[in-house]
Order: sequence, then C-alpha cells, then structure tokens
Amino acid sequence: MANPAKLTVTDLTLDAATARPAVDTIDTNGTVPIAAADLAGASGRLVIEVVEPDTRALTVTVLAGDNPPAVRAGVGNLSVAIAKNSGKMIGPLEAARFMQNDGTIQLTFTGTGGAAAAQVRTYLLPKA
Amino acid sequence: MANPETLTIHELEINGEQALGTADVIDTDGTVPVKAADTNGLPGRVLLDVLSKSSPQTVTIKASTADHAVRRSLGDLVISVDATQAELETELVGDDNDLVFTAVNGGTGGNSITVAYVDPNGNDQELGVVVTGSDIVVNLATGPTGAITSTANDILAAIEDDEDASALVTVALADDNTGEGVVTAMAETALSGGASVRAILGPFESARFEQEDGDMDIDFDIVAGQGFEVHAYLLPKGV
Repeated sequence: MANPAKLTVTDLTLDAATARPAVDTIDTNGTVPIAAADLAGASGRLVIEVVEPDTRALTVTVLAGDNPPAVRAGVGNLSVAIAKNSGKMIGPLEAARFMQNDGTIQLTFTGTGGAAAAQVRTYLLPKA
Repeated sequence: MANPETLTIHELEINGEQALGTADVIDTDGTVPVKAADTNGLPGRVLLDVLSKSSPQTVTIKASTADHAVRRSLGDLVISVDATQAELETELVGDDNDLVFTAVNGGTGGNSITVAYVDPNGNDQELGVVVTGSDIVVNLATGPTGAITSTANDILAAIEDDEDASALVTVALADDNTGEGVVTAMAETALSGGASVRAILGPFESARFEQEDGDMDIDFDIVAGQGFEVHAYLLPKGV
C-alpha cells in the first residue's frame, strides 16, 4: 500500500459537465504533491474534495509555500480536520500562500491514531 | 415528494473548508432556481455536483431572457447526466445464439430485471414472452419432437414486439453473433452493472444565464421515481 506519487487534477470547463473522476486513495501518513505541470500556472484555482471512508479522523495540511514565489507563505500552513466518515471541500487555495519554489502544492495527510485514509479528488477551476 | 423551492448553496471561501452537506433531492420534473440572494449576485459562480439515479435524465441551465445577459443568444445549456445501464450478455452453449439485454433506464433499478429462457418440455410449442414485474420469461418454441427451435433472432424480435418487455430492456445481438443459432434454456438471470453516475456541472457564464431577477433557473428532466441528488457550491470572487 502506498499513496499516489501525486494527486490527479481534473480540469473543470465553463458551461460544461465533467465526469466525476476516480479518487486518489490515501492510505498512508505523508505528503503528496500536486504537480506544477497539472496546475497550468493556476494554483489559486484548486479545489480539493477529501472524503474519509469511515476508518479514522485525519488532518489534511496544505503546506505553506516558499517565498519567493509565495509572498504570503508567512501566514503558515492550512490545517483542515476531517472527522471519521465525513468529507470536506478545501479551497480554492491561494497561490501566494501555498506555492512551493518548484511550482507544486504540497498536502500532508495525517491520520488520528493510525494511517490516514482518504479519498481525494482535485479540481482545477476554469479562469473567471 | 416535491423538489426544493431553491437549491441550497454551500459557499466556498479562499483557503477555507466546507463540509460536504446534505444533498438537495430532485424527484420531480421542473425548474429549481439558484436564488440571487444566495449567490451574492454571481449566479454563474456555481458548481453543481450532481448524482443521477437513472437515464435518460437531463439538467438544463436556462438561457436568460434579460437584456443584460449579453450572451443569452447561445441558448439553453442541456446536459445529459445518464446513469449506467444494467446489462446481461447471455453465454449459451452453441454458436450465434447470444444476445445482450440492456435496461431501458439506467441506474441500480435495472439490476432487478431478470431474464429466463424456459423449455416448455412439450411438442410444437410457440414462442412467447411473459413479463411479471421486472421478470421477463421467454417460453421457447419447440418442434414436433420437443426440441427447442427458437433462435436468438426469434427472441430478439419477440422481446421487441412485447410492449411490457421492451419497456424494460432493449435487445441486441452479442458481438460476432448472427442470431441464427438455436438457443438453450437459461435459468432466471439478473442484469447487472446498473449504477448511479455523478458529474460536476459548471461553473457557468452569468452573461448567458443570469435572469432578470438575478436568479439562475435550472430545469430537471427525470425518469419517474428516480431523479437527482444535487450539491451546489458557490465559488468565491476573484477565482
């Protein structure tokens, strides 16, 4: 068992339908990136859906970025608690706070009292 | 049951979190608005997470009739959100005698449809189709010695001619089958694989869909007894 090497990003399209993608399954505590190449330079338009499949509560932490380019990195990490058997939408995320100097966004998954278990879908919104 | 008067809006915030709330249940044909008061004047900044329980089902974002909607001439946006149809492909002994039965309506309801081929164990019997609820029984034809004479093509035609059966399933020849082969008896077998489908719709152009009163009108066309479950999210400004 292992986490994916990166989270899969699904582009949403203006005035269109997008099939709900397969989940990225998280089964281990650790950090998983969203690749710069999948963001099209638009990390500020990321929305992340995290569902906990009735295993244990977890915390999803969006890591503060590097400055530069993240001039608001000093605001710090964003920690989101996900209760057992529940889910949340996270974001949209601010690029100026979370972008790493390699262009990635980094998410850490930490289970409460054991390995994290989560189903993650990551969406990139179209330009306004 | 009735549709809600308006879709419930779950507002997303920059660097924020929003619990996945309870879905609005759409179980009736008709229009449900996204209200201007719930969208801060930005109806197009809505994402719809839609679960479709059947097919054919559509979601139509109604084009605006207001002069300020400068792109209204593009018209309504009609989106088919069709659940997966249950299916059964027979695997009978013999050649060119297999058929594929597909539920007319998508969704899990199709998994309760069954098909059986029954050997009447008599001479010179005629082919017949009997439907009881969602159970389709094909009584096979026999010749003077009692041997089954019905081919897959015969059954295909009989199902298509039977009003009750054709309301439940469509039938086609299995791949690489001519349908000329004589079938065998087949125990009652359920279709499988029918499932709901989810899709994300939007965001949408306010310049096309914002009505005079600032609402966005969404029309749902459903299969009777089925429908949609909808989560509506409002994106923040500046994204």
